[in-house]
Amino acid sequence: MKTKHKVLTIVGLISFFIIFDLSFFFSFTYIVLPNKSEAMRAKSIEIGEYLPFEEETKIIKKKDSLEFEGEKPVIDCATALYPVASAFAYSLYEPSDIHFEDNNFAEDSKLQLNNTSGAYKRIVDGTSDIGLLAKPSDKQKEYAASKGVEFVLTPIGYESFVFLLSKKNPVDSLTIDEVKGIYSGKYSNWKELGGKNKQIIPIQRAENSGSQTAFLSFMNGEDTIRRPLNIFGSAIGYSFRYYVDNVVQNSDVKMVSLNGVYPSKENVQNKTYPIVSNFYAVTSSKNTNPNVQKVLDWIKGETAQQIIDETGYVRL
Amino acid sequence: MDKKFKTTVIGISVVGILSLIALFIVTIYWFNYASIIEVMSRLG
Repeated sequence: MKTKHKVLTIVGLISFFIIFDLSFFFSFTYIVLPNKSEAMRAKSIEIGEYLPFEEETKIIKKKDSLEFEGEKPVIDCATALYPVASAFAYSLYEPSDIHFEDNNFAEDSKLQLNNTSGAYKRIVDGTSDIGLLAKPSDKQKEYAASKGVEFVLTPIGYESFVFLLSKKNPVDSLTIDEVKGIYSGKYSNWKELGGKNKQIIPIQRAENSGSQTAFLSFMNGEDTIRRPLNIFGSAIGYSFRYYVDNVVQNSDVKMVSLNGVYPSKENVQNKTYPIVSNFYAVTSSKNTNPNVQKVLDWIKGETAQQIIDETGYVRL
Repeated sequence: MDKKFKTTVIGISVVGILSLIALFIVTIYWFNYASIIEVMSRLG
């Protein structure tokens, strides 16, 4: 074999292994990128654990009654607010109103879980009446406007927006400016913020999800960056306190203090935590079902507010 | 094929396969510690 052929064979072999190995690595890690994996989305919450009329349900059970004339409103919700929506359904509805099949609610069920983007769409389309949700995104408002609908937002409680780090990250507290600096690209290494010499991986969620809308509102129009995931960096993400603390309870993740204040329920209640906002019962301006207003009034009342509080959110 | 060339080819192949195994282990490790991503992915 000539020397030239030998060199070509060796270079070819090295190139093959580099390409093959990297393809393997990226194809495996890519599937857990946010919103890319159906499996990851499907297990967003164990729906069965919070069903309203199951004996072993995790919801707060407080039976109440409202006089309904005609169709009972369909209650839809964001994933994080599903335990509250389910508790409301338990209070106001009968078991025969809730239909759960194949790990999801049937179309004729008065309780639905279609996540933020799905619930907003269904409110506009008139298939859901009340959505327990965070604020709508611009796109959701545009979709509503295109159908001649306006969203009516009734505040029903408070929640805090939190930033998350791996428990292994020694950083415990950040300022609002530092978080904005991370997401705008000013800071790229945790060393600059008192952490280890590791690249910062700022993770964002898909457009129109409740937490992404809250995040963009937090950034207040500043440009944001997305950096590819890699094993040598350490990530920062965001969510709502209740979801992190009560639903996921992932022991590998911690919430960081903002401006020195930890996002505990007490600090949300006394509003010392800097990012506290309402969550809402969202309805359509075109909805004519008289029972919708009855339920909205009930949600602002004592029983529903106790449910919100005991579930783990902060009441009005 | 001379012996030196043969040894080089086998050496590269062994390193390539070992790298693949190492990446596989790192990937599994990474999955275990990807919980921040999981939290975000799980929120609808």
